[in-house]
Amino acid sequence: MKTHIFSQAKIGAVLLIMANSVLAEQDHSIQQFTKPQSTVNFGAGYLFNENTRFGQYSGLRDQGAYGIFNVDISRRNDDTGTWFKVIGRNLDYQNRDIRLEHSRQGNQGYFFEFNQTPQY
Amino acid sequence: MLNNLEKLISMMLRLLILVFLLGFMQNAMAQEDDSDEEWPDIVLRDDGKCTKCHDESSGNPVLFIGKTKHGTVADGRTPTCTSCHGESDEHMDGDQAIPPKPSRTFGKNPRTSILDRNQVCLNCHQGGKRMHWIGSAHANRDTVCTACHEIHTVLDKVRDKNTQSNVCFTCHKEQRAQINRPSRHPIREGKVVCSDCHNPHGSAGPSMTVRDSVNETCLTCHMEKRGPFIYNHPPVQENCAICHNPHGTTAPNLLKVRAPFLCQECHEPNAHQGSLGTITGAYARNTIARGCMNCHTNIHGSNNPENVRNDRLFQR
Repeated sequence: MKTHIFSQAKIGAVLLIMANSVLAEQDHSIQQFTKPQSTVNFGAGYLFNENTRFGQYSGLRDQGAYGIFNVDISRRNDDTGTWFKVIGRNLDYQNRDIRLEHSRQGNQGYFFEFNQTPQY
Repeated sequence: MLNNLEKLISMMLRLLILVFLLGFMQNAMAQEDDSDEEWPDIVLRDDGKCTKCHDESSGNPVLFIGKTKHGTVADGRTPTCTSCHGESDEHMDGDQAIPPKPSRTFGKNPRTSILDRNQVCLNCHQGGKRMHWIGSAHANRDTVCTACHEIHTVLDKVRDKNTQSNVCFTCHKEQRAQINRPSRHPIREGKVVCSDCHNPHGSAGPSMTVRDSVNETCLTCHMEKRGPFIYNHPPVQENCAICHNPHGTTAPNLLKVRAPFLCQECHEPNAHQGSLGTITGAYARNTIARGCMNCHTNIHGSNNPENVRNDRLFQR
């Protein structure tokens, strides 16, 4: 009899896990369409031939390898409508910029920004 | 006694399994249900009646609005679906396989007039930087807000530094060519964008500049040219665009034409300004290093006492 109860309990547990995982998957599927998401890009590039004009405002003048690094972090508290964003572009280049923003939508907000542009 | 307890536990477990199976089936069936019962909201207030059809697999996916500021429902000002698309009763109640369109449509071949479409946006987005929309060049030429802005997407291209210029250049093709010239602003790099100088929603300035004049707009960045100077160069005070084309040129420093030809458009005969440069002789000075600005270095204005009694020199 004990074996029978345990087997029923196991079946119950398996069904519970299945039901939860299916529901969680649906939630996750919906959330990926409706909630802000964050991305980080990184990579590498190589510049053949030196060219001042090509890197006039980006600093990509000299032949060689360059790193690529961008971030876009976006968080929202759905209960309060508070956003937290960090957007960084070309962080490994001389024309890098990064912006940090914190705001409560429709109420108040502030941001810090660093932005640099070389000129050759 | 022990047997009764085991029976009780067994019954409870069966009941539990049954309850969860029923719950799970109900949830699964609800995805396919097309009845009139109320659907839960997914993103916006009262959007259940829309999202029961327009879900992530719909031909018109709308859920991405949840990632945007329009989808931040904690802000009481955010709209519902019907705020923009109208009540759309026929669209929702129709039994046809292809239901009639919503009350207001914004996509291709819309039946809603341009004025009505724009008014939907203006109902909330008016005042401030959009104060001059009515009567602006874009409004007068029947530009709709959705020609530039995308609402149901994470990235509204025209509001991103890296992609904004491409949206503007779909119409302003001359400027697309100009920003690829050797002397230009860093527009391609996303460091200067169209909206830094122009307000596409209208302004009191010429060419929809963000400030009331071309000079005021340029001087927001190039403030060292503002002065005041003791010796002023009149065209500098009048309009930067007399000498410069801000979108890009083939002459250095965004000049429309190279010196001395640019200078000679105003500075005509009776002085060395009016004579063409030569390699040798008295007029060779006009050719030396190919520019008037080699001597007249402070062409935007000067405070140098060297210029006393000869205001035209603009020398350092």
